[in-house]
Amino acid sequence: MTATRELTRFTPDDDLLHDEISRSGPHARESLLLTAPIPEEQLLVFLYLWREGGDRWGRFVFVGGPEMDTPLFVSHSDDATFSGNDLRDFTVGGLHWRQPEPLRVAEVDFSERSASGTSVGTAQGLALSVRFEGIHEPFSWHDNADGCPDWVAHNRYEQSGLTRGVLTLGERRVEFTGAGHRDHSWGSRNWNMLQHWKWMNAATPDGTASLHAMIMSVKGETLVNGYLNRDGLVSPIASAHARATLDERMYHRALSGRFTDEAGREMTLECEYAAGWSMPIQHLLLNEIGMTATLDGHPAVAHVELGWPADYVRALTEPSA
Amino acid sequence: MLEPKDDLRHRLAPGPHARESLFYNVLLPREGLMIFVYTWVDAENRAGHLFAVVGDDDERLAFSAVDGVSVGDRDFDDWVVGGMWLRHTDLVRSGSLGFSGTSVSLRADFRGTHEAFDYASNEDGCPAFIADNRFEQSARVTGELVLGGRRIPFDTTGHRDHSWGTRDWDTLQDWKWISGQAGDGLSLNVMQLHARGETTRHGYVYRDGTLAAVVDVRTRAEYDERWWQTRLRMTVRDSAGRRTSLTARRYALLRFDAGDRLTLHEAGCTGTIDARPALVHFEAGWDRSYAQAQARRLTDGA
Repeated sequence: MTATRELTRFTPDDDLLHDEISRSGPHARESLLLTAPIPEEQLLVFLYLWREGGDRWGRFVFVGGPEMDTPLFVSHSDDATFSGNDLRDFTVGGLHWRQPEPLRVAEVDFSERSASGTSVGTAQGLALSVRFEGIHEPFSWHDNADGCPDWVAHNRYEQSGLTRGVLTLGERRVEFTGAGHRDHSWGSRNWNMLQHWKWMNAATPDGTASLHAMIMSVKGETLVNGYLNRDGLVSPIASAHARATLDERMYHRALSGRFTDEAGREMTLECEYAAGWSMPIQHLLLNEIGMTATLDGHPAVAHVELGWPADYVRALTEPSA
Repeated sequence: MLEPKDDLRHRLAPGPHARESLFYNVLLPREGLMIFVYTWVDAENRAGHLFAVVGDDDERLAFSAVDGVSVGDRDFDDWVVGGMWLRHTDLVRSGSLGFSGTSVSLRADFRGTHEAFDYASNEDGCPAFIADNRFEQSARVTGELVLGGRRIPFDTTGHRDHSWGTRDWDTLQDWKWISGQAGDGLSLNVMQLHARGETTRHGYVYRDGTLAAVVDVRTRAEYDERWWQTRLRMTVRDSAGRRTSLTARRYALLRFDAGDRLTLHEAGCTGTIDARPALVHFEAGWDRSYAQAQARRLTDGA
């Protein structure tokens, strides 16, 4: 195995707000994401919050189920109240997020009844508590050959992790342990640049292998980001090939991927649909799907997001007049 | 496997996207001109043409577009749509075409410089939303353009293609189609498609007397503030194991729309293939809203 080069080291301050970068300017944005697929229960827990323009907070909380068109719980706010101590321990629209161990641990709690007015879905309400423990140091897209484009973020980290938690959906209570993923980005975000993307995350339950891969179609070219993690060595992805099987609604029901990192290692990903929801953001649809998976043939858990322009999906899925 | 009869009309299954089309170009960079000739017919025998002589920045020195012209069972060995005519005389080898209009006329004879190459011969095949099949061919082209009373004879290289089946423009997200010739013995055609989230590659390289399928393509394009391509750098790997490089710089551009969503930017370019002077046609197709968003970003930072 070839030794990998020194990678970007984030500091504890990178787990906090980057006001000097993300507070002002065109498309100024800072965001945190945490995903906990529970494929054995056909559930996907998805938590996403952001600050735009320095003072407008928003967040998505949803639990996807076996039917893409029938989310079990969705709560969305584009104008949420922030309170707390920077990003160490804070709340955005009822989503309570703590980062007790910098760059390693996040703990999130949320509770809402459907009657609150912001939520939809088949469940009467959601109570959720989830803890995420990173299984390697956060990875910066700047460590990839294609870098971190300035319209994505000034910088961005991605991290595979193990998840543990409990959720109550109406009368259904589920305790879970598994694998998940989180990211944190700060800077500008211009969604108009994206034509399509595949954001793929997978990890084995024991944390010995994981991957994060992003393949973006931008300005007619293909950009690749991400890492492979195996036996404690995280190495930037050098090449990525992925093919999705789409259904008639353009939801991905399966995906096969083959990845090579700078250390010369290869990893294969195979995954199949378990639970998801199609999340609208601006003119785009983000099809968020938790998947049963294998990494190099070993059982794993995956979250695969495919992004599409909504007009494109409409043109291909709705019969012409 | 192509047959001579593939240079004639094919039976098309009825449907909203059924289409058979032919394309020819002539690039005249010393005159600052690109000649663009396109004709098509659907399953109901309704035909059209797009004929243009353009300079740079979509300057239309001559332009004619018609559609829905009933042609019955008229075939490509004697094709007439509006003021445009075409004769495929020696099938999949050579043909003649012309156009007569107000202050413009064209006569051009195309002779293929190698066997026609069909996209079904590529590893990625010919995607069903593009056509049942499609062939491409570099050519020696001779003739004369008369524009505004000025006679412009030419003896140069050019390109043509012929496709038949379904053309569902709306399945495409973006694409690059490139044809280039550095004389009669070195030429290529490349199509790189993005559709339904996948990338596919098509086309050929003709070099040292050998025609080989495109296997892989790397492109880097540059654009002006209208999102019209200005330059291209491309590397092509073919099934014979060869690596061919191309550069191109725009001198002429035609823009038009297709389908409900797409815009086509056709750039006539000068450039090189493996460092030899070349004529290059670089077509970029975009979702209109995406192209507009990129133009806004470049002009006002939006």
